[in-house]
Amino acid sequence: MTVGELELVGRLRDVEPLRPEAFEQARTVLRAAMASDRPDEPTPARPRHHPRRRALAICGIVGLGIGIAAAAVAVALIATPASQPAITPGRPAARPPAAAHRTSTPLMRLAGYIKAHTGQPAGNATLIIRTQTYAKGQPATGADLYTDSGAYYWAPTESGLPAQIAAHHDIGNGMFRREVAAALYAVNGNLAIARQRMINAPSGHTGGVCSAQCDASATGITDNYLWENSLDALTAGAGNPRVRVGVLRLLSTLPDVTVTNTATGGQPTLTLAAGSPAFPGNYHEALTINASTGIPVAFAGGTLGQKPDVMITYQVFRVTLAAIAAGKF
Amino acid sequence: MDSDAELIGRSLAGDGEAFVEVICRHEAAVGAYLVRRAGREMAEDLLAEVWVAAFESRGTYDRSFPDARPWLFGVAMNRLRRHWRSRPAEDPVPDVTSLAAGWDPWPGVDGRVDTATVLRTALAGLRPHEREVLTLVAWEDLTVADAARTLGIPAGTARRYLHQARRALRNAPEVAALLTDLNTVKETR
Repeated sequence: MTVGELELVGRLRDVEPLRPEAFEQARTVLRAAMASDRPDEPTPARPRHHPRRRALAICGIVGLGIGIAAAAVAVALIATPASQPAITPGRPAARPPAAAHRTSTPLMRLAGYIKAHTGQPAGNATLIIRTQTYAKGQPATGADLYTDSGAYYWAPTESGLPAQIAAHHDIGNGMFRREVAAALYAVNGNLAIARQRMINAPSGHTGGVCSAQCDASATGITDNYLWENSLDALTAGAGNPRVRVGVLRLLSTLPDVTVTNTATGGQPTLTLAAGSPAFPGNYHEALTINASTGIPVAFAGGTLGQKPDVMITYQVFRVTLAAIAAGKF
Repeated sequence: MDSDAELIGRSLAGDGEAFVEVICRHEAAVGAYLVRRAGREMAEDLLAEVWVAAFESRGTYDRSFPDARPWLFGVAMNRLRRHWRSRPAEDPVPDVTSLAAGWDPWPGVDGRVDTATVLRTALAGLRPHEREVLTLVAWEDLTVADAARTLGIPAGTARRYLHQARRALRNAPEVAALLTDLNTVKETR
């Protein structure tokens, strides 16, 4: 048979295949993007294509990287249990559990306690090892590094962070900065103004979803933005007690969020549950925080009465950027 | 077994895992596509971007086509172009002569001629669309019609590009000499 030019070019086709873990990693990133998109699941009132939410999810997953050595540079603020977190998303707002309270008292009390008893920690960045479990699919983890100056680096494992830092691969692109700033303002500032700043954080202080009168008539969309943006701030500023104080104060203004005394991994925790009006239908989200520090422990989201669509556990460390950049974990 | 189009439809209706199943079907092919054009290391970086971009644009998928592979190649091609556009100024050009570098397809051929280099140089001399159609057909086993889907051009146009590419290769003196040698060797065995 005569060899033609097409067959000749075809002989250049064989290449070394991708490694199996590369396929797995790519699928995991895809699943994370899908989770953030939530195309047809019970729909949060928040816009589906919210750029901050999307970017976080795309960049915030993959690999199996638990195993921080907690060396000298990293101060373990809290260790989360590897097992399923004690979260029950979807407590009906109309039938709160007996131990549940409306937000204002317990959250304000915890905020006051943190403010009075917690100093500024060492370090200049927060490292979070995040494990996400979806209703379908395998658990996935990623390492998020938020610097106090607002940069955000991500890698599948903490060992991948030095390369991201060296490459100046700050994928935060400004996200979280305004949310953290709003939380910090809420520590001592006027809560009505702080609410407005947090609600409008993705788009700046003006021109967002919340005008000056939004505090007078809280709606589902403003509740939703306040909840979601506050959770983003709490994540990015998990290592900073002042951020946690501000977030707690802000969340305390949501009248329909319930707070339940829980225990997670043997530690006293508080579980904050948000449903209607922050979310439509039966969709609920639950955030579990350490009962004495406010540090996030776990998150769950899903339909009331069903297995959560996504569960996240957090391991939070206070670190220095230089140490992580040097690979000192 | 559901077609890719059906799975994408289910994905749009809320079944996220249906889209992952589509990806699983084509990940080896799309991965190889990326490796051939960007090298393995970069391909591994780009693959996730391709899946996310495909997921985000699945609403535009024409579900009259049961097979999504040509569409996924198109998504991958766009990500590659974006990657090349964003490369630093000192490294601006996707060097086609390095396509499939690191692989030696000619262990049995006379060592006096670096045939792979000859071919790569000839490919580099083609017009971009001609080269795309040719390599989609020769490397990715697409039909000309599917290559046209990948590139978003009419099938007749893709056919013309392929014809022009083959003619250009045949007319390249070094390729012509290579073909002559190869076919002569075969005939004398």
